[in-house]
Amino acid sequence: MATVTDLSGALRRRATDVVLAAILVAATALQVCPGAQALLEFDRAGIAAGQYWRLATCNVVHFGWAQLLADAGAMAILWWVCRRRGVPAGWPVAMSLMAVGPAVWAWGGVDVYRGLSGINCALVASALADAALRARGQGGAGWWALLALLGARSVYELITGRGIGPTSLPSDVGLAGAAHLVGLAVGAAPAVVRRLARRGRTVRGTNAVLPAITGNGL
Amino acid sequence: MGTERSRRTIRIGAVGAVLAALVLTVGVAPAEAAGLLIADGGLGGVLEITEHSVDVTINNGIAVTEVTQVFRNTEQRQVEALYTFPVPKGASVANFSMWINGKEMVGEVVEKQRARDIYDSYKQIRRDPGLLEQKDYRTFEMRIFPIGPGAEQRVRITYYQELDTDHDWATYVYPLATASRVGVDSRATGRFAFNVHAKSEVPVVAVTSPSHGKDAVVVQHDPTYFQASLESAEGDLNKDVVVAYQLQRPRTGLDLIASRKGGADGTFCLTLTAGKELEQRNAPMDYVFVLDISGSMEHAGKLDLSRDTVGAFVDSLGEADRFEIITFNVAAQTLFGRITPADADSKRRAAEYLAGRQAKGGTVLGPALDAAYRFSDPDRTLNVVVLSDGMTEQQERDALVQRIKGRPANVRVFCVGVGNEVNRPLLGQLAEEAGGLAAFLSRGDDFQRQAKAFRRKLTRPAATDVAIEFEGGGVYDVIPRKLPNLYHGAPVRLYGRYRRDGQVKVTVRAKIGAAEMDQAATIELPRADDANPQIERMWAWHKIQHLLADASGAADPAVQAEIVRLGEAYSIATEYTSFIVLENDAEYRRWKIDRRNALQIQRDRASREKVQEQLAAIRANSARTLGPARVEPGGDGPVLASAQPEAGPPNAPASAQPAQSPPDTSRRRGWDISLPTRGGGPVGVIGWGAVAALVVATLRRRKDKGSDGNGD
Repeated sequence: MATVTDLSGALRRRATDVVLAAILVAATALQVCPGAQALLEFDRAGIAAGQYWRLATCNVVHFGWAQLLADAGAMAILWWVCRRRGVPAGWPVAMSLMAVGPAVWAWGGVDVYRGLSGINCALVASALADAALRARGQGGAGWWALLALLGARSVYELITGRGIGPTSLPSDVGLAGAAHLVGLAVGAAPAVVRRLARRGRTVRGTNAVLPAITGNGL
Repeated sequence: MGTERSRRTIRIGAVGAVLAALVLTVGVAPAEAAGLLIADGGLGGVLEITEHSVDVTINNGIAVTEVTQVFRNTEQRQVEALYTFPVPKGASVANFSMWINGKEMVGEVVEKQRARDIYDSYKQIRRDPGLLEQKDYRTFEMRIFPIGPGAEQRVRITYYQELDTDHDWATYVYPLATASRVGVDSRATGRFAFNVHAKSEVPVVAVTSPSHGKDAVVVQHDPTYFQASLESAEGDLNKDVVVAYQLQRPRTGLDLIASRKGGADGTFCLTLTAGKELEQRNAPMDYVFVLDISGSMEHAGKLDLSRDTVGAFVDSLGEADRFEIITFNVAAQTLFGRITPADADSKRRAAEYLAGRQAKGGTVLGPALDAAYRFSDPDRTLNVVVLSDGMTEQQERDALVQRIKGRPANVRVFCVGVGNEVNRPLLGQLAEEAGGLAAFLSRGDDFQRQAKAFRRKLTRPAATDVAIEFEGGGVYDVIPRKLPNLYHGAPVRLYGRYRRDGQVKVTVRAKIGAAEMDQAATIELPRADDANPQIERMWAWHKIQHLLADASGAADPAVQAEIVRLGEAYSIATEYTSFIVLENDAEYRRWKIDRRNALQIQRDRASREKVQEQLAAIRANSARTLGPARVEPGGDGPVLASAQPEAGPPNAPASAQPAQSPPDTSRRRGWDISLPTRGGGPVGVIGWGAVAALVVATLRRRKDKGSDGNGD
């Protein structure tokens, strides 16, 4: 018999699937509607004029088919990875959807922003952190290192406005490092919090158990 | 003038030839020049130009040229003379004066047939009217009879024109080399003086005279004001006088000048200029050069100039570019027979091919254009560059326009007119229809500079689908309604009227590459400004051209009436209006002709004097820094430049250098447009690396679980 916890988890996974599928479908559909893209993109002037929806909807519009293909492809793969590995994707998707736009706004330097990459960063960070925690010392450092490398790349993008290696963006579009950085942060945060919480529990258990073992004369 | 003449009959007939193509003024024989008064009508006789002075005031790219000439009959008998004046491309004749009994009589514009009737009535009684008609857009003619033995005649013509601006260089050309009449001695036996005063809201960073670099003196008093001067005695006026100046607008933006007096509606001229930030990487492109080698190209070195221009253009192509050359007269001929990469071998073959062409036969452009279209590749943009002196027959015009309209989707057509006698309206129409543009060059100018500028334009427009909208100020009658593409170094200019002064929101929409730009700026329309009266006439002239361009509309009596109204109100000679000069004010009153132009001229001259006073103050201020005790290196003093420059921009015309001090951009009255900075987030190499690692780990985990019988 399924427990209440199992049902809740299944519903969460189903809801996440629906949201991710909707995002991919919407992103593809919007690519053929330039007028709608202009209404949904991150436009600093528009947001300043009260068009706050752009802070969230900027994630689902793209500068071209190449960017859409790369972003949507990465998201689909990460979606599959998260499902396979049992990584909760709802939190990173929801949080990045809300946080990327404000981060781009706060950092400045970019007037128009489009793309799923912030959400992708949240998903990849979540999956990497989860893999690191599951590894429990066996290769965990490698996953953390990969996550740190992504963070360093985003910082580099933030500072220089340039990417490393070829990108799927049109030549006249720069990089919004703030979107990546905040995506990584909201994606990795739950796993990091979980790890810190576990470490705290482990320390308390050691303090309690060891004297008892010693007392047994082993 | 001081010379008595008992009878003069002046008949001015417009003579013009509508020629075609783009403008590259070509060398001409010494016997061809502007502003000629020649003996005519079978009476013979020789007339000398004893004085020829040209005063040019350039205000933010709009030049007002006032030409004063004195002619003398050197024979001991009475002669009839024909005065002919070639109007430079895109110019609007705004005044014609002649001296009668020692007094300048300013002409007035009236409806053409009425002007003719008035003229005929005077002719019958052998009195002295003058009539200036425009039968085509390019040349004006006037007859003077009789001119007594040894008598002199002084005339003055004023015309307005917008300067051509390419590659950030604005170029003024005084068309001395234009062939207004073959076989006429045009040398000035007396003084020839040429003076330019130019002011600009956008800082001027360099000034030069490519045609007379060693003879002209160029003085830049201030980043917004320069002066150029050329003077000679017994000058051989066989070469255009060219003055070019470079503007520097680092950011994309708008510049505004306005004119408003009293409570009347105002007129403004708004200029949109592409800034450096719009520069984009050049993409490989295909070019087909369609070169006119008809007989008319033999004159005045036109074919040589075309060859040089195409050669320079081909040399500038990169190896990723491809090209083909088609020559045509009555038939078309290709060089390669296919579009060919611009490598060293193909460039060498092109040079040999061009060198072997000879000018002969008639001009049939249509089949050559069709042949050019056949080289279009669906995956690349094809630029068809037509170089011709524009001798296309009038009846071919509609067919040609249809051919342009019917071009393949990825083809743009550019027209390069060779010679001053090109059909500018036709070229402009062709360029507009073709999504391309027309370019203009004088022989006195540096063709390599022009070739480079043209290449820059051909490569990619800075912005397409440009639209400018106004909110507030009661702005109306904005011309042109449909703006052309914005090219680097070539601003888009539009004119309009406004009812109310104050702030106006200007929204600029355009497509930059694939991105949409939608930016707004708030500009200030002045309550009163009398420093720029010329833009009122330029607005009216553009409106008239707009009405004339619509062939169906031009045939409409209501449209003709509107053209007459504008011509009379703003004193512009058109196909439906003419200048008439009467003997005295009483004669004007007798015919109930308002002295609008006389008043306008008074006002314009007062305005110019006011501007001259301001410029004199700048000169005086600048001159204060001169002197051994005051001049410091890098100071603000004027820079005299009449020789070759020490350094200059690539392919810039040789001559003057800018002021030693950097431009004072803080004085400019313009509005920068903040182009949107676009940002996105690619997955990137590292991102894909992380995704790949996760995928591999997930697959391995699944495999491990599967081997344990616990696969999910």
